Amino acid sequence: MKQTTARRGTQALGLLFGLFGVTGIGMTHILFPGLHCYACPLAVTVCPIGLMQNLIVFGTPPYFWLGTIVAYGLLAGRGFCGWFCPFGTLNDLLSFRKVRILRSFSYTKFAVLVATVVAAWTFADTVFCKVCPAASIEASIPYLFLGVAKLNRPFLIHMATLGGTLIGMALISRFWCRYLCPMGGLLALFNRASLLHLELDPDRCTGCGVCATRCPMGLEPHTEHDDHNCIKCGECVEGCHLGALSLRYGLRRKR
Amino acid sequence: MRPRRAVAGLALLLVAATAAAVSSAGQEPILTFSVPGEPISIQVGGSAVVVVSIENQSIREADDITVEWSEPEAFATADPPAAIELLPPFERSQIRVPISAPETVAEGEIEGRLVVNYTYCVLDQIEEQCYGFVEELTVTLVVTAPVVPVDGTGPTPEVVEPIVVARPVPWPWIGLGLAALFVGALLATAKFAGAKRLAAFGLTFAVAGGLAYGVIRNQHEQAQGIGAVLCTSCVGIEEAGSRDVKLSDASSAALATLDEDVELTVFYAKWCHSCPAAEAMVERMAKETDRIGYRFVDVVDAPDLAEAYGIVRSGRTVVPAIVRTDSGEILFGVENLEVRLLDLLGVGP
Repeated sequence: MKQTTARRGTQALGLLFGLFGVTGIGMTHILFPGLHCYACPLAVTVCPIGLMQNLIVFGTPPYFWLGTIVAYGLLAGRGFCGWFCPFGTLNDLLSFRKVRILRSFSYTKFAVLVATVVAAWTFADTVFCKVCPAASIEASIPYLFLGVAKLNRPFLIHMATLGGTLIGMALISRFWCRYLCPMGGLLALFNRASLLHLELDPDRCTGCGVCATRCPMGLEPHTEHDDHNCIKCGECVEGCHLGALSLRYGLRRKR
Repeated sequence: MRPRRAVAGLALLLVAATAAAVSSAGQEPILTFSVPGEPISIQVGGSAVVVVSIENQSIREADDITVEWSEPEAFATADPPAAIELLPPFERSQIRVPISAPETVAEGEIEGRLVVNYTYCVLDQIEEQCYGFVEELTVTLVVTAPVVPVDGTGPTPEVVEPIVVARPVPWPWIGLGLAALFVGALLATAKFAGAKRLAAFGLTFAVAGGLAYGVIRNQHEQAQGIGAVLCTSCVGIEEAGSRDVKLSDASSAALATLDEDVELTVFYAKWCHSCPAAEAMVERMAKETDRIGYRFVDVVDAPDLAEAYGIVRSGRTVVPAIVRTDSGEILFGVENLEVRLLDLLGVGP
């Protein structure tokens, strides 16, 4: 099985898991390992970013949340962005231009994460959810058809952020994942320690840079294979005709 | 890594997670009580106070919590049992139980017992189902000889210290800090001493421990509760609206023409920012006429009632929702509520 095929498979699983509510199961106790709105009529999982804001509002010491997030981070880090997250999959589908621009802006997502925390604390409300493009697709639009939402200002704000993000995605591959996703920012913190990781065999690498043209995150895998932005999608592995790159699961080998 | 294994692993993880998530809500105790670990000293003929700390780790409200001294009976005071009427979810409190040592008691260590009582209720369909719990706590008392004053006229009256209710020590936060230190130390070990396996083992331990403690504190229920409720203003489906409700003269006049008794049920969640606006509007309208009766229902306490009234949409309980009890008509949200509510009452323009 080709790696890309496998990845499409797990992404489909991610989508299935995200929309598992079609079976009639209600909300469970599980946190979704990605950006997936808990308000989605078919969601059976809790959005980590949404829950985080609520916990800040309540002042709850976040043991359950933190335990789950760290576990996800250690299991695959941003691998969930590349292999599982439905919003990441949407980013993937719109990955037309794998450009390497505005790379220093990738730290913006940490700023978004911090801003989300600060806003939740300051306004005692889930401020990020009101602009989240995942919520635009998964809550605003469905509830419009379910007769709960109306064409009002908050709805238009949602549509604006969604529109902006979609345009961004079409112009820069994985635009949302690269620059803005707070969940990506959270998982990125564990990227260098996660079990799923990209490995480079320096003996085989000639530094030709073909992998860099394949990377949807605009990285140069042959020089930065452990970057916080790497979503471990394995596109570079497929692209490398020398077999210098590989995805591995386990502790990192000593070099 | 073999891709086939990744797919199989993820699928397995999903199945396991779904299986693990099947929750069981029932008549389980929801409060934890603790008494001081050190012995409480009390003088013969003197008095003391036993401080019982109470923590509610569930998503439900606990009602009528009482603590009473039971054994030895001679130590009980004539006061009525100390009580707390209501303890909201995820909150802590203290109950102070005064005791007094009789003149006849011998010096030494004695084991004392306290009995706590409380109830909590869930709305099952339309019936309210309440569960009562009785628990026993033990404390150690050290009875000491009375201090004989210089003039020898008997025990000195005890100086009653002003009651200072201390803020509970934020142990959960301290624990989080310690855990962060532990993890930091592990990472440093991995980086500088190369002990990767040790670090991995330690990290796994820390994560599993944190998760387990979170589950013990019922935080998974809290997460599920938040996810299962759709608060319209929270995810930006509408604006929160204001508690400051004003009614137009036309509305007041329309309400005066209401010629039937109407019962309204307002469903709310504690973290919902538009619910207070909905509650305020119903209260305001009920002030205008005595034909409107209303009640507020917390959807976390009454999931079945919410289901019965049909405010659950595709597995999400939508709040705020105002239900006209006789006809079953529902209003979601607070946008343009004045007009819509008048319509619901049948006196709209």
